[in-house]
Amino acid sequence: MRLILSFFLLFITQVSFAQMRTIRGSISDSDSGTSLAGASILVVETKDKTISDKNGTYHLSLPEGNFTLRFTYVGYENKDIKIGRDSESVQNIVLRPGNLLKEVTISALRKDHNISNLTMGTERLSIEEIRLLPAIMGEVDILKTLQLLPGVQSVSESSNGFSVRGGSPDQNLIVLDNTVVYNPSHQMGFFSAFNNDIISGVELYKGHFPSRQGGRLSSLLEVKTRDIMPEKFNGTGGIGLISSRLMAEGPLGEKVSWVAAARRTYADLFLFLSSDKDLRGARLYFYDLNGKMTYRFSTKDKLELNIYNGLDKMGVSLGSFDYGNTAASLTWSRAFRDDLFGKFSLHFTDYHYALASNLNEMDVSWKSGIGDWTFRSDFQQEINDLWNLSYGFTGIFHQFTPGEISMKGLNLNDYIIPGNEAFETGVYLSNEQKFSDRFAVKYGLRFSSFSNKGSNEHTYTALEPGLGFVWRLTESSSVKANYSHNSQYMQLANNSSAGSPLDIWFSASSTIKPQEVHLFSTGYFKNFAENDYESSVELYYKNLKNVIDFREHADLLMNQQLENEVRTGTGKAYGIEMMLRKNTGRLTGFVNYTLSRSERNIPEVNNGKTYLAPFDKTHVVNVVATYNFSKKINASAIWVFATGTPTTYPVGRFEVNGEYFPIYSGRNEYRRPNYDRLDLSLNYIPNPNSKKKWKGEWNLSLYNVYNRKNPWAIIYQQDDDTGIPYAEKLYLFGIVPSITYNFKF
Amino acid sequence: MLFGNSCTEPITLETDDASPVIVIYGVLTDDYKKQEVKISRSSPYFDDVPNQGVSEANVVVRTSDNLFYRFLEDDSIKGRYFSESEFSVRAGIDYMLTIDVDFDKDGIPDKYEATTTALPSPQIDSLSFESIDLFRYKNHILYIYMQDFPEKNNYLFNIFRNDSLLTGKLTDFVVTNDDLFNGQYIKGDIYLFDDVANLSQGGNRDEENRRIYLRDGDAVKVELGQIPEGYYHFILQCRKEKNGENPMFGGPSSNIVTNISNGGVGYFSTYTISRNAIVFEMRE
Repeated sequence: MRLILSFFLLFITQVSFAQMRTIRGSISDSDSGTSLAGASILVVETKDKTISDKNGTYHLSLPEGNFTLRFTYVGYENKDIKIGRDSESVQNIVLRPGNLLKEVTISALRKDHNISNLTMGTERLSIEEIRLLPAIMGEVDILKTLQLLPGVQSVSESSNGFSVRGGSPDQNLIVLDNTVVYNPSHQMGFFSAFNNDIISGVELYKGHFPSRQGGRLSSLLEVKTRDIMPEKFNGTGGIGLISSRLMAEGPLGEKVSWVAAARRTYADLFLFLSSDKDLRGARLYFYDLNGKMTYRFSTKDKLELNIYNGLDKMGVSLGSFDYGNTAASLTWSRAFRDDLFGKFSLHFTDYHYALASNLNEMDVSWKSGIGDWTFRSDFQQEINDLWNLSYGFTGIFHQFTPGEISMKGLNLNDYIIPGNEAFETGVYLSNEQKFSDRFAVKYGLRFSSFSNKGSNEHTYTALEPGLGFVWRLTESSSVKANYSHNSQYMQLANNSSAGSPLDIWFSASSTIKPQEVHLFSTGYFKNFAENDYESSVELYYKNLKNVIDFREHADLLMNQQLENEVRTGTGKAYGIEMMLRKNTGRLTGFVNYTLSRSERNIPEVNNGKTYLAPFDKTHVVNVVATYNFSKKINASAIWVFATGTPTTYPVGRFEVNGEYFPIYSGRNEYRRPNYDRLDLSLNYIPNPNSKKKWKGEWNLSLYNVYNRKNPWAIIYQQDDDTGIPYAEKLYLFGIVPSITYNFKF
Repeated sequence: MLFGNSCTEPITLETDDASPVIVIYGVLTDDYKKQEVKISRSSPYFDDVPNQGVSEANVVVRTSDNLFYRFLEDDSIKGRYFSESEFSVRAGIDYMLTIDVDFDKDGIPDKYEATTTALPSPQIDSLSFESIDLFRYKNHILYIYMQDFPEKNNYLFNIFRNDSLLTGKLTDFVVTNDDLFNGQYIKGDIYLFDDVANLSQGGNRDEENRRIYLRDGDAVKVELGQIPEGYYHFILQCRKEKNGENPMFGGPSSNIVTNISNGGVGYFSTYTISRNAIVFEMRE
């Protein structure tokens, strides 16, 4: 009965809409391209108002006639446009920051997004927030900034790998403009693969994915590049101690815009000064290149070409190690009707690494990688409050290349681990229903399948439902609950806890079943002082099935029988996350606390006894604050505290031929020392009111201000004289100062 | 960059101490001699006294062709047991070690056993040196020429310089499996020597104790033994675990796998040896 009623409502709504015209579009920041959620759109003549949604998009219905639309957003200059009979129905608006720029935090969120958003466990960061924070070695890093959010744990000091709610790093789906990036890091994980200058913002879903994405258990991280039509050629850049970067963008006629960015480290340039010819020939750098071209070939159609390429190169004449990603996509977006928006895209991604040695002209090389081709079609149909549909299809062709060693220089046969291919599909349908101003639900279903070819062929299918509601208790508070079930068909064979780039992805097969998670969460959300302050308490519980670990002393590299090293079992993770955020005023920032636990039970690991997951941290506290002293000066501070991660310590030793070897406790029965660190930064803008095109600012950062020696590893040595073992902590950084000059033109 | 910034500092770890377990280590070869098995007691990891040998053990080795060798404790060194008579292992024969000792001092003998099979070793056709410059310093690579057996094999190389064993510690053992060259004729680099000239260039003579320098006229000998796969992994695991965790390239810390029964640790293995030697001649 309800279904019939809903279709009736749908029909009525469409009939009434047919007598109106709809204007739709997006609103974004002119500098960063960040979508502006919660921006106001006023129809001057009728006084009707609406606001942009979480993606910065808006639509409003107008009767026949001429109107003026006024776009306003706090901290930005107003913009008026005229709408007449012949005006285009899509109006994308770019707002310029006003004089108040540095006194507000630009957010891609509605002001009450915290309490009204249907999806729990969602974290957004605008690039402006990220840029103000302290940098290590001059590079503010998106992925490290994410690790300051509740429920997101770093896996190792200064690593870009992260664990979300007790999951492993390979359970995070990281996409750059919808294209998967398999290893989003440079320099062994110290820098992220994402150049801040071309990024407009990031959004992290901590388990409850939108139905359009799937294939991972723990999180979805969507990184978005700039998407604006610049009025004229402009750019930004930065010169740091170890790297520099440049981004430029501009229009090509009235319909085409382009943006390009590049970044490179230059430690190797100093090696040319060495007197050692081997060092002079050494390579030690990374670069990344981004390019994007957008062709708006009609008021309803847009074609985007995105290309990313990043590479790390390390090497001397005797050998080298290269690794990098390539990600590209071609996307056609079309507004089929006022209420129907579609996207069709083709994506390519590749991650590979190669090691080579050349000892006396005996060349040996080792290559490994993974590549995907993906086709997506995604539709959004916003009919009315009861029917806000998303549906679509995804098909992914995976190619796994676990390893190929060429030993031609040694006159030996090549050593090849047979690769395999797999086809993964997803079909989804979801709906958001707003029953009243106080109550809304969302529900969706994703049907996924995975077929691997090669050895151990098998086809798996799964139904992945998602369900959630928000119940607005008052204008400033709400209660939410979400459930979702996700499946993961491929995983990483990498035993490194610090993010080694020697990744080998392998697929589900007849012997390796897909990993699954059931995630339940609920939370209370309360805003204060007209949304200037946000607070939340979220509880979650994850039940994991077929979760992966590896046998003890697993041999993961160049292994013809990699699946023999895999052990599967169950796991669970639960926790409570508390967040308090201040959005406006001179002082902005947030404080969060996470209490959590994550465990695994795998029959053939740790003698079948339950053990703590490697990234389990009982207590985590993050404090992030930015203070605007004036238009010229602002300062930021980060303080983090985390319980030490689980580890295995020796509880005995045995001696062979004068050397002592450890006898260990059970898996992860101990913890490393607790971790804490304070970072500070100071941004100085010499001429904030300058009318000159070139504007510069200085960023001074201090990483680890009180020189805390947080252990990266616990290692054991034997005394030279007595031979008796002792423990040492290996720490990566003491206090690290850096300075960067950022500019825009 | 990673290791350029990193530093170490002693740290005190508060750990529980595991109960002591028996440690048995014996590797028999086809050299005709009195073979040796060592028995000791494990201790808390940070104990400040050396581990103690275990006495009063009844140690015997039996073979699959019904030979029997008794081992007796050395009078001067506690816990070292030598065979009563000289013998050599033979390829294709199984060797079973049995030790009876009242380890936990409860008045009842505890029995520990391990079994291994002696495997044949391929001949070393020849050895050669090639010199190479590594960051201004001249080094000499020792190559071995041999035909690998067609099945899966694991090899141990003992390297001698002027009859002095350079690879006597477990963590110095040179081992490889034949995954990359199974059944093929190989020229394999097995050891890297420093040139003696680096002593003066390097400026740190203390390094001579840790790095191996080669002088003109030095005699280099290589012993090659095919070892059982379990012993190969034992050596690799000892090497990996001795210094604790390696977050970048190592997996979780895990106990070293043994073939000693009844809760013992260590390893019992055998191998047969083929040898070859070369005299190093300095070339300008």
